[in-house]
Amino acid sequence: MTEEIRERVIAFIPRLRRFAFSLTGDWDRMEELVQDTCERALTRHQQWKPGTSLESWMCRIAQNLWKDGLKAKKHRMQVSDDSLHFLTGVDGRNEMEERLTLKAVMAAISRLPADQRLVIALVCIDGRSYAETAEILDIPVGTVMSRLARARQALYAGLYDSERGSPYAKAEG
Amino acid sequence: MDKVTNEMLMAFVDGELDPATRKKIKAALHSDPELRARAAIFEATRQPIAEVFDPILSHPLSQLPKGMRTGAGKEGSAAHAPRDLHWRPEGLFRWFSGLFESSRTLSLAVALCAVFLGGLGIGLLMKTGLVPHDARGAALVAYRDDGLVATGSLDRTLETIGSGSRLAKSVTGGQELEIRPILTFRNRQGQFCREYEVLYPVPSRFAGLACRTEDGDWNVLVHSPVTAQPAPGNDTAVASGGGLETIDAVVGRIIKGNALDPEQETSLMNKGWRGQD
Repeated sequence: MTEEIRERVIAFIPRLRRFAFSLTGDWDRMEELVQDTCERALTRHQQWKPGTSLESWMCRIAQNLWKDGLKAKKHRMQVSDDSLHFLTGVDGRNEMEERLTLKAVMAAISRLPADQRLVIALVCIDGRSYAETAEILDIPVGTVMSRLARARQALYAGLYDSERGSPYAKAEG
Repeated sequence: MDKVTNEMLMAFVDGELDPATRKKIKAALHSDPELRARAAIFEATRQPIAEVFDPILSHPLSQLPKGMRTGAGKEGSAAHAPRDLHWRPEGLFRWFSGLFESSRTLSLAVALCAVFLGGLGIGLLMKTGLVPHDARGAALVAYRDDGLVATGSLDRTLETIGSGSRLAKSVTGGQELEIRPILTFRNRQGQFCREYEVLYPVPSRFAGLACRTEDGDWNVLVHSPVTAQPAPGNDTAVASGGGLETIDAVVGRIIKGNALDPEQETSLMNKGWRGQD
């Protein structure tokens, strides 16, 4: 592996961790998925085609590993308070609000089918374009869009259509 | 216009429509409350969701994954690549990272960085003789009306040197200074941004991030001293500290798409950084 590839892989790790966490919902499982992804990228770096995006290639590896793990019940999402704790601040009031929000988001994402979770993770959380997402998942852009629209409606319903009411229900008139 | 589908509304919210369709949807949204209510679903599931996950970007990594920890083919040895300590916890600037936990505070944090560097940081550094200078003694960063910009060797390096290559200059006193761009990417405003390192002999080292304006200036968002020590069993100095975590956090917030590859970089430099779009 050339030093350049290694540096680019390292530079991508923070984003890879965020992506992996949005899929697994658990800190240890996220670390495991990042580890497995980097290992595979290292051992199979000849499969990456120079001129194409190394980062997209790594996302493709990560989502394949995650889906394989789902079948083997390895990376099944578990949302635990422990895994969310590190993300909260020290201010008590904010901490509670942040925790509720994060917990609610993770719980709502965990109720989506795997294919919908992936498009949410890639587009909404990692900020990928529809075209990049289509390339990573190897599906048409139209499928990304229809899947993502359904996923976001379901996520919204899971987050806001509960007894708490929706902070976004009052669409400005 | 024809029926506006959920996919179209979503693409509008995500900035994925061509300008003509975008204009049409905007007009339709203006006159139709039902459309606005549907669009709100997609707004609520984009930025607010992303913000929940952003703190992970700046969360320290206890250790790099196996195989990433050492130089190529030297797994298990004590040798560290310079960026290995990128996510080591704590450090002088640890508190900075917390400022980036929400995009709402990002601009504030960037402003604070500039204030910090311009007010306290540069002042302190001047006293210690660590203000970054190029071979002729000119500062690498300078104040302009709207903040810090790269000057001298730093400006030339960002403008013309590919990521991973080093511009080496000897400074007065015989010490050698190296500036190395690390990566190039586009931010959400479409500007080209570059992360870089300025390497002096141990223990002086800086890392920074700059974005190119339409005027051709490299606006410096972060230019931060990081500690550098010789790695055990290796002559290479390694950097650590929250300054690097801060840069990672800012990159994670402002990047759009992927980092550019060397061919794209070279092509951009040849065209004077005039990108397509």
